[in-house]
Amino acid sequence: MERMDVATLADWDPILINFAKAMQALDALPVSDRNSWRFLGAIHGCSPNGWQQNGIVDSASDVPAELSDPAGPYGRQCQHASWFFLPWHRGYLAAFERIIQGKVDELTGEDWALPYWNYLDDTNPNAQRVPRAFIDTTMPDGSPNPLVKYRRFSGVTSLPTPQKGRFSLESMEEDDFLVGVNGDFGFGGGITATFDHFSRMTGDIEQNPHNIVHVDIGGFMGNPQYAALDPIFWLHHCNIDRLWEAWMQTPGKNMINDPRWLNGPSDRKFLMPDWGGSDPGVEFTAADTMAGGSMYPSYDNLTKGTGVTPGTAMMARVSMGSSASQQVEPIGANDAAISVGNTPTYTGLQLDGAASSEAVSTMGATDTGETVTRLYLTLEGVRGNGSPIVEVYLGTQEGAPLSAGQRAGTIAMFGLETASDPDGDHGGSGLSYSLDITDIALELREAGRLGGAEIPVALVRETGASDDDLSVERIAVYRRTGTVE
Amino acid sequence: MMRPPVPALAALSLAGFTLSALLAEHATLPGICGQFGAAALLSDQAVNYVALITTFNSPARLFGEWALMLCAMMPMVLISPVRHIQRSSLRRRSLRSIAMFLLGYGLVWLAIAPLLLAVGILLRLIFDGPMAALVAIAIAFVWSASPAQKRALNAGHRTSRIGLFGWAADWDCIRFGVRHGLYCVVVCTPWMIVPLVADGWHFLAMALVMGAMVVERFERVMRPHWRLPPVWNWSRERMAMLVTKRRAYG
Repeated sequence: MERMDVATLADWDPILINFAKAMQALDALPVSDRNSWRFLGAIHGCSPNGWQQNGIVDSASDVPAELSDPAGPYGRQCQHASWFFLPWHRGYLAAFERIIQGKVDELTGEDWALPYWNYLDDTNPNAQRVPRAFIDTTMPDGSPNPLVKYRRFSGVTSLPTPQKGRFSLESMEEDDFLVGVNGDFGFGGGITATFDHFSRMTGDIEQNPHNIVHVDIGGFMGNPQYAALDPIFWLHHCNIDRLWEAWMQTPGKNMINDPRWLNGPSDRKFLMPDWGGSDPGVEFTAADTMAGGSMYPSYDNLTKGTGVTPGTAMMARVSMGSSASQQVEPIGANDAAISVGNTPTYTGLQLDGAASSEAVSTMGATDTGETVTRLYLTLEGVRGNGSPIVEVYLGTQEGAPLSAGQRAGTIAMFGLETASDPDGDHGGSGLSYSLDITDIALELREAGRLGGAEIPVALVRETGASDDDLSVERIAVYRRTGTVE
Repeated sequence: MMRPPVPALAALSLAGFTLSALLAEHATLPGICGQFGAAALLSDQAVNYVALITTFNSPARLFGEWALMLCAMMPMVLISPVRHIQRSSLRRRSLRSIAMFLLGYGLVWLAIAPLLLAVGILLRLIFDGPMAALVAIAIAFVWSASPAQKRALNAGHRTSRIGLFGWAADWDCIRFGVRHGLYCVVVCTPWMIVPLVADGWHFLAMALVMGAMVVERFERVMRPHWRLPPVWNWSRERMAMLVTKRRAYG
């Protein structure tokens, strides 16, 4: 059965009623049952003590070792800030869907597929509204709605209006899954050979719209240790997965074929429970999630709300040549680590004269065979508490008003606290982010404000005053160079 | 961006092993720990014996041999931090940045050398013959399994900011090298004792210990806890991969 847009379904379509019934049945199972709602949620992330404090389990020891053990096999699996982000979540959705499908079949004899939340569909004025089935406290028959059980702490009934650089389909404009030899930039996330709960550089689609939706909904959705307990998590990730599929089916998009990605990670297998929960479970690699693989999904529509038309080349950017031929290197950076406070925090970027001159002169090239450059601003080694949202401004001196036109982008730091914990699964390494600043750099160039000794950068907490720590080890400018094709 | 540094580091390691092998006949470092027995060093002539040791094994020569050991054994352990420096540096000063990092890193290991030598001598005083090496290996295994080692290993995965310009960038790289070296010392010291007390199989011990350190270096980051030693787990997983089949749906 194809996955469908939840907006095309009635508020309490049988698909949603059956989802609620299945969830209720699976949530009643002990957390140690591999098909239980909580077991499935813990696969993404789980803090046994936190789950106990929030009443999800009676005791931290209720969480079975196969979920809480740092070595797995089932727990703490979610892959973030790496090229495994998309295929792992695709496999996760496939396993979840199979289990829900099994329960729905058991309860009703009907078929079932996971719907997606098409929140960036510009043909639907209500696209950002949380579907009614995930807000109503009761179902049509008057019984309590299980789909809202884990939506505590979030009163959000609608996502914000889409905004360029914050919540948009800009990631779909990127042509390369990963760029260059090291793959620090690109659509899908940075290279890692190993299993990484949270890795290094966040890919474009993970940053926007994936992260911003998590943090904007908030509550359990804002924390990777709880997010998959909220049923809206699954519809959100179904849409992210659909965006990936639409991107792959668009001519001109360069999907990777690296054996390390297809067969990885090298040190621990992705493992999901099967319907029934018996051993040995279902191991999979990224290869299993691609066309022809056993975890490959089917969608009713890959055009609405995706920004692309599968089969038709997208003309948002000039082609920069093959991914492997493109060069990426830093050309500027600030001079010290910074802490982001409750007022705009400023730092200055020093640019290397020769490298930046060459980069600036080749931005915007469009003729075949010409060298073309895109510029990126990176926030590296970001560590902190909570899941802050930070606006980044380029080119505004301290004391001058910050204008929307100089906002390079907005970064929602989903999972930052998990990645910053020194005793956590990421060893306290923090996370890194990138923003494509080519357009804003072109404007600065036209205004004659690019090429000076220093370019000011301002970081502003969108979420206002906070006691949460937030530090950035380095802010840098990278140039990505290719040849126009 | 420059290609990952693995070939260059592998070549450096190979050069170190080659030189070590060529100079093995004249090496003094492996034998020094067992050069004189406990009886000699605990006698009232101990000072004379120590003077003999240092006369025929000059500190400069010992440091030189130690540096050659580091050159052979450490490059493959440094793939990740060197790659971080490569990615983070201006292309034209990438090699300089890497050199500064290696300087900081090497200084830490050179500074710790006398202590390691003293521990090696102590082991040989307490245990005769191959028992000293077996005890050193056992200590290394237990340490490898400990949460404290894992905490240090995790910390060693953290990167540091690398500046782009001038002496500030050099200082960032040296500081990163020192910091990385300190965590590496905490993690690897028990293993590094093994070649020092291995006597006749010193060269083989160097290679095996390098393999153990590389396996540990690439163990994924996770919450510190007691676990099977990474070398054991790696070996077991490789054996398991040979005999089991992966199952996806269908």
